[in-house]
Amino acid sequence: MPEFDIKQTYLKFLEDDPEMTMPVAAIESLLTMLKVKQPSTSSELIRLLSDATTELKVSVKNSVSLSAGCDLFTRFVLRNTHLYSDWESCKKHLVENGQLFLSRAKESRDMIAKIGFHLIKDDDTVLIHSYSRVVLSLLAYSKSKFVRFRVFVTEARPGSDDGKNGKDMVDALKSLGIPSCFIHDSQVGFVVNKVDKVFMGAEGVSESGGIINHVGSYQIGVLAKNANKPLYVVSESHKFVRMFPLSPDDVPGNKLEFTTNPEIGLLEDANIDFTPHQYITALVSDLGVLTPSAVSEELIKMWYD
Amino acid sequence: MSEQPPMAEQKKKEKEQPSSGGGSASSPSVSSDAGGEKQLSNKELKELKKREKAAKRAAAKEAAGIDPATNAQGKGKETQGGSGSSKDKTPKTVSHIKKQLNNAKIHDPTMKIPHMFGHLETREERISSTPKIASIVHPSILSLTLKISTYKIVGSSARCTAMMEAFKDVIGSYVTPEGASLQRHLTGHLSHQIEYLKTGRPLSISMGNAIRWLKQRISIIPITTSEERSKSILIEEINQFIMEKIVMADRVIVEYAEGHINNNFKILTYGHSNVLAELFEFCAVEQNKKFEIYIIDSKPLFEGKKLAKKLSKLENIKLHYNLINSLSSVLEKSNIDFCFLGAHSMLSNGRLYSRVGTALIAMAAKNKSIPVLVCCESLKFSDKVQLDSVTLNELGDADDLINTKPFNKTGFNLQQYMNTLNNKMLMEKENSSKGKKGGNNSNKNSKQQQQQQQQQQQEKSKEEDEYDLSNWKSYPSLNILNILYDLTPPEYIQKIITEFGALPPSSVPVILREYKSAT
Repeated sequence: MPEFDIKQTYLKFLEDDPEMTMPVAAIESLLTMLKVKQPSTSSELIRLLSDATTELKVSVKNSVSLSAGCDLFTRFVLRNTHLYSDWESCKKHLVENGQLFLSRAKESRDMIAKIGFHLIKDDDTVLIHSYSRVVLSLLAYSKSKFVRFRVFVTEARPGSDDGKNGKDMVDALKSLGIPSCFIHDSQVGFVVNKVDKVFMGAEGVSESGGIINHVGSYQIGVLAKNANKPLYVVSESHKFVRMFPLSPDDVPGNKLEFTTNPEIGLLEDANIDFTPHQYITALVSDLGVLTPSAVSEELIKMWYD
Repeated sequence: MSEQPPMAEQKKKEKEQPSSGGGSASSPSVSSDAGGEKQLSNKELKELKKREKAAKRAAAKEAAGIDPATNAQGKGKETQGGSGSSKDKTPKTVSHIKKQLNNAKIHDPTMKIPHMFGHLETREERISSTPKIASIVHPSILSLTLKISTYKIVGSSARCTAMMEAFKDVIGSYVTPEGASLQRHLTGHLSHQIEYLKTGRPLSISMGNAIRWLKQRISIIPITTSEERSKSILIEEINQFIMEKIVMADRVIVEYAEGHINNNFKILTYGHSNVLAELFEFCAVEQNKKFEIYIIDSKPLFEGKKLAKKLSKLENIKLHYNLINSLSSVLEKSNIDFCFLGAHSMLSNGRLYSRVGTALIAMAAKNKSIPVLVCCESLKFSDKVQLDSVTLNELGDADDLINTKPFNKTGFNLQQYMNTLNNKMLMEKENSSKGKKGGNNSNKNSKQQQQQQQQQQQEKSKEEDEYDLSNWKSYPSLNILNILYDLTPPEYIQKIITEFGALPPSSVPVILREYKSAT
C-alpha cells in the first residue's frame, strides 16, 4: 500500500468535485486519513490529526479556509473522544459524525440560498465580486423564484488559486438567464451608484466578522460603504475561522516586492485580502443572517461549549 | 481585636481634620458647617427612635446566640466612651450598617468639586462614614485598606488579588457564632470587611465580580459540612480563583497577544498594567524578540515609572519614557506599530473604562491609524452600560495634583552666578566685621546689606508662591478636579484580547454571557 499523502488526497477531492469548498475538502481528507491509518489510541489519533493539519497548512498556499475546516474537525474530535469508554465505538462514532458533518456542510449552501433569498427584491441591481459558489447558488435560487434582477460582476484579477474568477461567474449567470454586466475591477467606482446591494462570498470569516476573500473585496467594501450600499457576505458557518487580522497585511502569505527589473510585470502573487467588519452590513450564513459581531459569539460557542 | 478601637478613634480624628481645615480657611463656611451638623443631629434623633424600636425587635431574635460582632462592638464602646451612646445597640446587619453609613455622610459645602462631578464621593465623605464598624474589621483588611488608599497597591488586578488574599485571612480566623450557620453568617461578616475596604477607595469592577463569586461559593457549601472543613474548602477555592481568573488568564492573554509583537516593532503603551508587563517580558525574555516600547505616563500616579523600572532590566527592550503632554510629538516622529492598553474594566457596550488619559491615547493612535489593542481578563468585564465618564467615576484627592513638587530648578549658569554673588557678599561681610573700626558708616552698610538680603529672600519666596497652590481651598473661584478614570469609545479600539480569545469591542456581551454561565 502506498504511503498516504494528505495533500494529494486534499487536492484530489477538490478536483473530483468542483462543487466542494476547501474546508470541506480538508475535513474529508482528514477523515479519509483516519480511515486509512486506523489509529489505535486516542493520543495517536490526536498526534496524527495535528501532524496532518500542519502539513496541509504548510503545503497549501492559500490556507485560510482550509485551516478553518481542520480546526473545526480537530475540535470536534477532541470534544468527542472522552465521551466513549470504548475506543472502537468512539472511532466508529467519529467517522459517522464526520460523514454527517460533510453532508450537512453540503446542504448548508441550499439553506443559505433559502435564508438569503429575501434580500434580493424585484428590480434590484446587484454587484458581486469574483466567483463564489454560494453567491451563485443564492442568485440561482432567487432566479428560480422568479425574482427579476440584474448583476454586475467584477473580473477579479488576478484569479484565485483554482483559476476561477469573474469570467466563470458571468458565464454561469448568463446560462441561468440572469442579465449580467461584466466589468473591470477598476470600474467598480463608476457603477457603484447604480447598484442597490453588494454580495460577496468569503474564504474565511474572521473572529471580528471581517472577511478574508479574493483580492479586491476590500476596495469594493470601502466604495460600497462610502456610497451607503449594503454589503452582504454569503458564507457557510464552517468557514468561520479563529483568527483576527487587523488589516490586510496581517493576512498570511501575501508578499510584496519592489524591483527595478523590467522583466517582472504585474504582482500576481497577492490574491486574497481582508475586509474589516465595519464595512460589512450582514453575514448570510446557514445559522441565519448575522451581524459581524455575532461571528465571535458563534465561534466562542463552538469552542467553549 | 482589642487594638481596633484606637484605630477607629484615629479615623475620627482624620474625619475632623478636613472640616476644621476648611473652617479656618474661610469664615462664612464655618457657620454653614455648623448648621449642617445641627441638621444632621436632628435627623439622627429621629433615626435613633426608629432604630431603638428595631433594636428591641432584633434583640428578641438574637437572644439565642450572641453575635461576636456586636460583642466586639460592645468592648469598643467602653473604650470609646459615650460618643456612640445608644446607637451601638443596634444590630449590625448589612442593611443597617449601610443605612448608618448613608446617614453619616456629611456633604461638606466647602468641598470644592465642580458641580458636574458633585455626585461623586470624595475621600473625606468616604472616611467620615467608617468608624462605627472599624472595630469588627480584620487587621489584614485594615492594612489592605491603608495600602489601597495610599496607592501602595494600585491597579485593578493587583487590588483584586490582594483583597482575595486578605479574605483568606479573614476566613481563616473566622469563628461561627453559636446558633448561626457559616453559610448565613460569614457573608454578613465579609460585608462588614468590604464596607470598610470601600473607605480606602471604591471597589474596582474586578473586586466586585470576585466578591459576588465568593459570596455565591459560601452560600452553596452544604450545611452539613463542618466549620473547619468549609473554611479550608473556601480558602482552597479562593486560591484556585486567583490562579484561574488572574494568573492563568494573564498567561493565556500573553500567548494570544504575543503574535502582535515582532522584531523591531515599536509599541506604545500607557501607564502600567500587569498583563502588559508580563507580555513585554515574555516577548523579550522567552522569545528573544528585540523591540521598542514607548511608555506614556501622566500625573499624579506616574504608574508608567513602575513599568519602566520593571522593563529596564531587560536587554532586548529599548525604552522611551514620555509624559502624556508630549504624546503628539511621540506619535509624529516615531513609526509606531501597535498601541497596547490595559483596562480597569470593559463595559458591555464595548467601552473601555481605564486610567484617565487612556481615551486620549486611543484617539490619538486611531488618528494615526495605529491599531489599538486592549488586554483584559474576563474578570474585569462588567454588564454596566455607561455613555460618559462623568456618571460613574472615582475622585482622587485634589491635593495629589497640588502637592507634587513644582518645577524648581534654576539654570546652571544662574546658580553659579548666585553662588559667586553669595560668596562675594560673605567676603564683604567678613571684611566689614573685620574692619569694625569704621564705626557707624560700615554698620549702616551692613544693615543695608541685611535689608537687601531680606528683600531678596522675600522676592524669592514670592516667586515660589506663584507655583504654589497648597492653600487652593482659600481661593473661592478655584476648583481642582482629580478624576481617576475615563471612558474610551469602541470606535477607537480594534481588538480586545481576553483569555477566551480576541474579539472586537462589539462582542463584549458574548463574553459576559459565556462568563456568567461559567461561574
